[in-house]
Amino acid sequence: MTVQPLVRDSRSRAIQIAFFVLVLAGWWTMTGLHRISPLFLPGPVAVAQQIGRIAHAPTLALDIFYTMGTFVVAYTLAVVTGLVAGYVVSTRRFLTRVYEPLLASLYAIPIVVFFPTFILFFGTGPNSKIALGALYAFFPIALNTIAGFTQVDYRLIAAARSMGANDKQLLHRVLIPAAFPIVATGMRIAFIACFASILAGEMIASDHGLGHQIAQAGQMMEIGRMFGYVTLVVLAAFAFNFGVSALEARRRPA
Amino acid sequence: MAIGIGVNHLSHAFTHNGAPLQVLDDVSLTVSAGEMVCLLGPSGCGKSTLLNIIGGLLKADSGVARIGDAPVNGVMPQRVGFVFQENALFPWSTVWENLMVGLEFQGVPASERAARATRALKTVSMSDFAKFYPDQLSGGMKQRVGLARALALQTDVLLMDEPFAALDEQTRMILGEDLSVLLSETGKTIVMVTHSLSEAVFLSDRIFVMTARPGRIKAIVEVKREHPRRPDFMTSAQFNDVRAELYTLLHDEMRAAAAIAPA
Repeated sequence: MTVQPLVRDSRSRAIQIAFFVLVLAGWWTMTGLHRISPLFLPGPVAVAQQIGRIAHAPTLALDIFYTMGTFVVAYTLAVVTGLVAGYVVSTRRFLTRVYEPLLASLYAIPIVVFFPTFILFFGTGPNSKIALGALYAFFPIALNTIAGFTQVDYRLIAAARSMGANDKQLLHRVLIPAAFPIVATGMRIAFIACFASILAGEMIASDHGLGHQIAQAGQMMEIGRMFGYVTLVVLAAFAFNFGVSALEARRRPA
Repeated sequence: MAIGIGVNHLSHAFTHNGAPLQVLDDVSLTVSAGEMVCLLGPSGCGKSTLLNIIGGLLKADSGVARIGDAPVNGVMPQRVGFVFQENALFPWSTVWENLMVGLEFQGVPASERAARATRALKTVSMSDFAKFYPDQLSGGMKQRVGLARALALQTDVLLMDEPFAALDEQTRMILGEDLSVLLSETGKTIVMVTHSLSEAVFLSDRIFVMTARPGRIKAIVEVKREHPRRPDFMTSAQFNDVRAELYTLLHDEMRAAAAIAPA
């Protein structure tokens, strides 16, 4: 029963790797043949050299620490408040009816338009990005937590109750595992939104951080350096995604 | 060991699109200790509602249900076990964990759980699948596990809500045969909801035929045949006679139910 997935797994993995090789080859070819000006898009070799230079720059560690620190604080804030708010709203039908549509409509607002306001309130330091990132992450977590807990199959609840489950057992052994996949999806969407909005915030107004370096290099037409930082951000995102996928796979061998 | 069930003047209504919808109207019935009965009726006649009220999952508007001498006032995990349709297993847990968590809910001491789960799985011939997740099992296997989960609880009463509804006919027949053997050995008092005539005849001592909504007991049909019942019962004249009688009783109600089905 478990032989087929292994074969299928290695084949799909090969296609995924081929995709990235193809992108890299396309990039290398287009820039190598000078179909694209190196002023707009330097080749992969040039970018790799820039990464080497960035790696020796004294500011790199500070920039990474700055961006990641901001992210960790913003995301943690959003996870805690989003899970609590979402769960509380899900516990009463009345609260769900009132607050779910309200949260959904607030989520539709492009919060980035308030970023200048956040700068006025919190300054150009990390706090304005924390506000932006936390808000972007809060809504998908809260909304998916509501969806996860309100959509638990009533038959599972009835089965647990009929076997004598008390409230605490029902929560831990039925509601949380049943809601988990939807809540986890919300946290994943939130992660992406949080990371992106913090980088955008740094690009708009900041003195440090990876986003700040990308914007600054771009403005100074140091495109190679800019793509060096872009590559670092892309790799960081991939690394995270890989980590999350590994965690999810370990939780449920299917 | 087994205990009987009594239902006295039970009525219940749901709210449907803001208007009350009477689903049960003055239902009374008695099930003897160790008896196996079916509630048979057209869709929407309130047979599942009746079962949920007997099991304490739902509170009736008026009337009383009793398990033994005790009036039903909420679930009774020590005395009443449920078997639902196949999707009532916890999909995030293995077969083994599904049984173990049920025993934990019931309050069985941790030291006794493994032995009980092992025995229950063996009873339904699912010992080899303890480590499987529900979505790796066929519909029939899931139902065996659902049955094992309820058997492990060692309750005197078993309430089954259309346990075979999602299965194909051949799987139902096999499960029905196994169930007849198994249940005659346990001596439990069993109420099963179904809308399959053959299933009702094959398994029941008595069949309560219900009317279209609002559900009432229209007739009680007895099946005088010892348990366990063998497959040849299904081709006997007795089986066909009872089945024909049920069909006649039910036909008008099915028509009536089709006419009043809510949009």
